[in-house]
Amino acid sequence: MLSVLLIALIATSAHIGSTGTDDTRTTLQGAMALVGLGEALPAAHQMIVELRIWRSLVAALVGAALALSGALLQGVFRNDLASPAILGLSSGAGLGASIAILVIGGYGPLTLVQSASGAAPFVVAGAAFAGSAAVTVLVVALATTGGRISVPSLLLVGIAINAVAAGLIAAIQSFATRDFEVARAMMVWSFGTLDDRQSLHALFASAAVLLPICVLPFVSVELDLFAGGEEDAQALGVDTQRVKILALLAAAFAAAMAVAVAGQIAFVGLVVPHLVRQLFGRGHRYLLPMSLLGGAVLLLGADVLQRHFLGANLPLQPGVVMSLLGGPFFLYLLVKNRSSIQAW
Amino acid sequence: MVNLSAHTLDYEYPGPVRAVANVDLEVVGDELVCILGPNGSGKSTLLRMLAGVLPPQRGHVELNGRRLETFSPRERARAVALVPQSLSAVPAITLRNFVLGGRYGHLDRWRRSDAHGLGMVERALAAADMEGQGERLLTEISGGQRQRVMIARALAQEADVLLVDEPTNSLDPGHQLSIFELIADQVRTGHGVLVVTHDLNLASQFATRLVLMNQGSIQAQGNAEEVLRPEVLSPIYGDTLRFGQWPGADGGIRRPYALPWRR
Repeated sequence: MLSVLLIALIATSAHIGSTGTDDTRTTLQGAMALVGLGEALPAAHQMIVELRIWRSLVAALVGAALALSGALLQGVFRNDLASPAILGLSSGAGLGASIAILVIGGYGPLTLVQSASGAAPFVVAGAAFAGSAAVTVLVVALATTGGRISVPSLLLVGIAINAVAAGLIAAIQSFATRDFEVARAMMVWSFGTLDDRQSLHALFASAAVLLPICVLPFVSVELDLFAGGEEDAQALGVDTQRVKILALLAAAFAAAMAVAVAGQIAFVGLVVPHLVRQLFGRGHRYLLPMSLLGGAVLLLGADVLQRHFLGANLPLQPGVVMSLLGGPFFLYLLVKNRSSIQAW
Repeated sequence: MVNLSAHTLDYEYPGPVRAVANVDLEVVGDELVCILGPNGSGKSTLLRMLAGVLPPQRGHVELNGRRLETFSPRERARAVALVPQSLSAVPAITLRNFVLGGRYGHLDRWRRSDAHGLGMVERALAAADMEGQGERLLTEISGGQRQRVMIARALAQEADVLLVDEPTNSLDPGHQLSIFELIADQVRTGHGVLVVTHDLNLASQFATRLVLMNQGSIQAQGNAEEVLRPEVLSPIYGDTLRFGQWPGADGGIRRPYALPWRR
């Protein structure tokens, strides 16, 4: 059912845009031309349709990647409040990307600027991944005592690292305000964007989903066994070290690539696994793939609704929309789980 | 016949607290060994090292003559099952799915269980007196029932050696006996079982060998008559026990008991 909804949303999304809504045949013709079948629309119109298609794909893939990342993190840390944004993975990726933009924007050593200029999107994505991976290692290392990851300290370390990363990003941004292009590129990162996404973005976003998917067969059953504690899983025969590394790498990669493609979009990684758990239970064999679909539906759905109802008059960034939806939901979670939170 | 042995094991927690010091121990098939000792004497630490979940700082553990750390985790889980005292978190999953976790070491490469495995889960639930309750949630049963379900999971694991950490802690007398009877059944079918317990009398009744630990090392071992004696226990437990004898389950042989009782 979720997949049908997703396909319907992609189709709808390809229709809607600031230049007005197209009829189905025009959109279909543009889409066919894109994959090399049939005749293209007039150049300007073809481009608009293509942009909408890329936007839809990127929104769906980024949503899927963020939700999968959240579901993996919640499994490894055995805590429903873990998510790429709360643990600082997203802001780590944002920081990496900001530094890369600054360097490419002409503020780095000259040789670096020249060698990077041709491959700017790759460099930014790579830096985002490095930032996210570094934060993952740092958060886990700081929150581990006696070989055991403590959940309260994990969340506190995440908050602290988020604050530091946000401060550094703000410092870099204020340093770059004189340079409009660089500052704008960074601003876009802070709340995410789905505007002007192209095939390259869709390619990165596909990687954000496809590579972590390869990990799922090796961690799904295992993460179920993590539920009673890591040592318990170990006694049952789980190679806990391998599962943790695979799941954390996949989560960091998915979050980093998603941020590299569309900037920081909060709450998808937190909210989607939670909703999926309510609908399909806690088993990771369903939770992980269903989070993928659910994340795609949520982010694309939010984007479609936003464009349909607010349109060009008030083009809200996806990060803003998700924060407005996700913030209250997170509060609801906190209030609902108050008693168990006190018992940590 | 299965043979699990510890060789000069040492483990020290930061502090430093020497939890296990120079321990040699062996458990073989059709043997029920009870490890006794006061709180903090290193019983659970020893058990975790024997289960392969805590690497010893010195010494090593062997399973059938092969060092335990050379086993893959799944291979080890097919040979040695650990029943922990409690779980660090109680997941909200059905009893059936929880017990199915014991089958992890037996799953095929696509992580599927076969008919035998699924049957094993039901038999294990029935053996632990939880028949027909597979769909209940682990979070909604009592502490005593949870203890039995954890044993069921270890039975589903079909390992040759069972390591059980304080299995009768929150059980009523009837269930204490039935858990030990269940464990004794495993011994009769050739399993080696090692139980950490504070219950001197259940140990007297069921164990083939008692091992008494204090401050990380083994102070005494032998059968119940050799260990449950004032001159062995009083130096460790102080003057807190009263001793006597009671006819054993077979009627003829008298078994010693020791009751906690201030003089």
